[in-house]
Amino acid sequence: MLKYATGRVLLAIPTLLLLITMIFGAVRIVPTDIADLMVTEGGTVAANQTREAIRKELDLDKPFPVQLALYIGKLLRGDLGRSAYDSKPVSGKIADALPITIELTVLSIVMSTGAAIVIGVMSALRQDTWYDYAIRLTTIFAFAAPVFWVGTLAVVVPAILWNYSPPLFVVSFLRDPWVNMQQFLLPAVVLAMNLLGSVARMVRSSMLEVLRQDYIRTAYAKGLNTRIVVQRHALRNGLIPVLTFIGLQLSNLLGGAAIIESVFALPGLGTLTVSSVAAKDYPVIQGCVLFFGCVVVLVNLLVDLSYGLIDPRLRRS
Amino acid sequence: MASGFSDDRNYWNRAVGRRGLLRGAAGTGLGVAAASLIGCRGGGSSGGTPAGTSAPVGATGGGATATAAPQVSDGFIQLATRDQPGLDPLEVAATVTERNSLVYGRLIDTVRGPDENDLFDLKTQPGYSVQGWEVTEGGKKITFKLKQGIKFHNVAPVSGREQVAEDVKWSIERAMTLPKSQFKAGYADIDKIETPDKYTVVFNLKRPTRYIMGVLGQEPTFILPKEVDSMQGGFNANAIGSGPFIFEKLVQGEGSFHKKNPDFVNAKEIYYNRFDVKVVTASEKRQAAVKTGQADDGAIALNKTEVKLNEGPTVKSYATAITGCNFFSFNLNNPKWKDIRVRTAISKSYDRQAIIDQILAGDGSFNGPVPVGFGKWALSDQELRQINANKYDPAEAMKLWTAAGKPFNDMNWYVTPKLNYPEYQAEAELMSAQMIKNLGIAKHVFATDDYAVWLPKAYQGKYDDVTMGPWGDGAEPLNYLMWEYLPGGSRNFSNINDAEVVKMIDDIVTTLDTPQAIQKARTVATHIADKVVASVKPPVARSYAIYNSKLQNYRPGLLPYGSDFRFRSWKTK
Repeated sequence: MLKYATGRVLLAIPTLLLLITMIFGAVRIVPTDIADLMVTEGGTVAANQTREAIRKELDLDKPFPVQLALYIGKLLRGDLGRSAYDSKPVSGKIADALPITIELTVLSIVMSTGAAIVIGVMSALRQDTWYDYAIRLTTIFAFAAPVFWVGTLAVVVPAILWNYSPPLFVVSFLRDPWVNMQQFLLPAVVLAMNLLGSVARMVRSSMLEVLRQDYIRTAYAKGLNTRIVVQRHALRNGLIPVLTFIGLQLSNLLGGAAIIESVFALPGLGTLTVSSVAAKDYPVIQGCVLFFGCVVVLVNLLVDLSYGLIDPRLRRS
Repeated sequence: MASGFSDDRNYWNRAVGRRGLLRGAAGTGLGVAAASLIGCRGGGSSGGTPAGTSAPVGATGGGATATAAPQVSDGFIQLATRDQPGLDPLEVAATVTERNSLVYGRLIDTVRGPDENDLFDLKTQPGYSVQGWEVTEGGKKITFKLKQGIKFHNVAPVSGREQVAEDVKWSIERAMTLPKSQFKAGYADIDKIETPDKYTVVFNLKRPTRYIMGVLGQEPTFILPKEVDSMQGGFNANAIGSGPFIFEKLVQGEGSFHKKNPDFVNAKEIYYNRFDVKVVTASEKRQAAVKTGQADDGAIALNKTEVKLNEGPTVKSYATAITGCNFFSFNLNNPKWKDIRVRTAISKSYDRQAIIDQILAGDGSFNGPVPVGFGKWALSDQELRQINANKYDPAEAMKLWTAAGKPFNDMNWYVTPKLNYPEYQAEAELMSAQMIKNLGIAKHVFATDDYAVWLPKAYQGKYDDVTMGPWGDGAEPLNYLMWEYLPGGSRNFSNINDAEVVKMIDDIVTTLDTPQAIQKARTVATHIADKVVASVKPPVARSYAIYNSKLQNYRPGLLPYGSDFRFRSWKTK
């Protein structure tokens, strides 16, 4: 297992380096000069600086490989630069916004995965019944409905029908759990819908495949009841591809979170990214995108590692 | 000392209303006092509703009339569509000036009147730290008398020290000289500022001008403590003034936060303990927040359908004044456009009503050199429809085009990016199709750039043939003439350099009698729209807004004006 885990961790390092290079390069290949954009369109701090000062601060006056090396050096020291909007450290801004995005995505993952497993297993166990058809139809809708559309409906409809809208200002869970849940539950449900649809369908097909395996038939032949067969034998094997799938869906979830944060006015990482784009705040844009990228790489690494834990065959190979 | 007022006994203490100023101006023949009437009450051609606005949609009555005794509430929550670009008043757009009005004071305040159907029901009055002003020497000298005991916020390093004349002088001179100041041109008529004593500020002007009073009553003229300049980040990162609210913080993506200033000169008239600005980018969420009473104002730029959806006892709605322009400008530096027949043919070859019907959902207005929302200062929708160059007439257009020798077969359009303003792409395509059909032009080439690139190129007239996009909103009708139609104007998209236009606009600026100035503004607008035909304005959409119906004594509005009403309003339980 250690060899397997080490291999996966070592593989993540070049992936991260490639990611950093691509994000760093992408910001610099925009058709216009970043310093020009920051001066003409950026926040006040940027607008108050000269182009030369911005170029120097962002090392734009140096060749690209040198810029990249300097940037990686700063990253290793935990320095993501300073915001052009208000001169605050980018890392601090990300840290401030992160709890909101984490709460939103964790709630979404927990709700969608929990519901999807139950729905998917039930659907597989009752294949080709009215229940199965209804579930398949519903999950297709949940999967296909665009997040921004569902989110907009979730804001507009309760306001018009019941004069209700989630609270405007974020209150932490520790301070007031009730208000916090009012704030996060609706956006989390909207965000969860998409993932729920796809995961439920994945669970169903995976379970259908597992339920046809010889060892399941053997388990039934031993006299085990359905609940034991499903819980102890089918589900554990059926969830292996689902786990990988959820890991791969994380990037979609983070993209959706950015949209949902904007729709529900939650000041998380997605909102920070969007407002940085509007302010042409390149250090923050770069930092946020890099952070999202690293999270995706890290989660995929964790999925790989947990895959090894769940499936003993991988450890042995 | 000559005064612009008929009653000098209470001179330094009086608020200066429009009528009082008119009387004073008429009585003495001096008239500079009338200069403070810039942006005076607009009046429509019917029923007191200004052109460019319409009666509130779904308004449920009550209006601005106070129905209960004022009461203090937790706070006022204003919604914003995007982050405030920064804190320095000299470097931000007019739309965030109302937020600066929370923190800073001005020499002159321009406030809204009680008529909620008339968004240009405005009057000027001395700022809260000013007793009054006096105009002498034929309008070349304006003396402001400050109140004693006005204190800056009790925040280090200013720490509640008294606001005095030197602060006014320093602030205005900063606005006049700071390289990044966007408002330098507004102070061009100031020759010298003197402070004979701690509470007196004297403006010596190069010439009598009505424009300077408008500038002093607008956004950049905040009174700042110079100590902030030497703080880390200066005025970009810090905001300390003497206004009704103390700035707490600005958070990117979230908004700005303020608490009530307990030492404010009129603290008893401030009925909110806080004033917070929350950034909500999604229009639907803004509407929901206002409808559910979580926010008080800021659900703006709605269409009629959206207003209808939000109708109910919790909200009031109003039609916003059209104070912005869309421009479709010819580059007069290009010989292609020298012949006015060519420009007029183009102007007459596209159907403005079709744009209203097909692009603006049937709810728009013709627009002129001064936006129609400026009431009497502007030509109304009906008047603009009568101007020859605005009339859609394919046959006449073709006749002019032929008479000019059918000068070319193609033209390049430099259009604002679709990402930022998708409606202009749609308008451009419709106009282009009509021109191709009606004038036999072979093709149009559409070009665009990133908004940050497009902006300076279009604004400085650095494009090939024509450019299209938006500009506004301003609060000063003269800005629209001076900036767009004078050589060197910051929005002279067409590179206009017309001696007659320069003379006409200059004449308005030095006309201190307001009714006369209004008449002259209308004359020059007609002249520009019909005889210059350099920027042939496409129609503009009407839009609406909603606000919390619990607000009393409140006047909504998008302009920097009206902050005073915001402070002095209150909410019922």
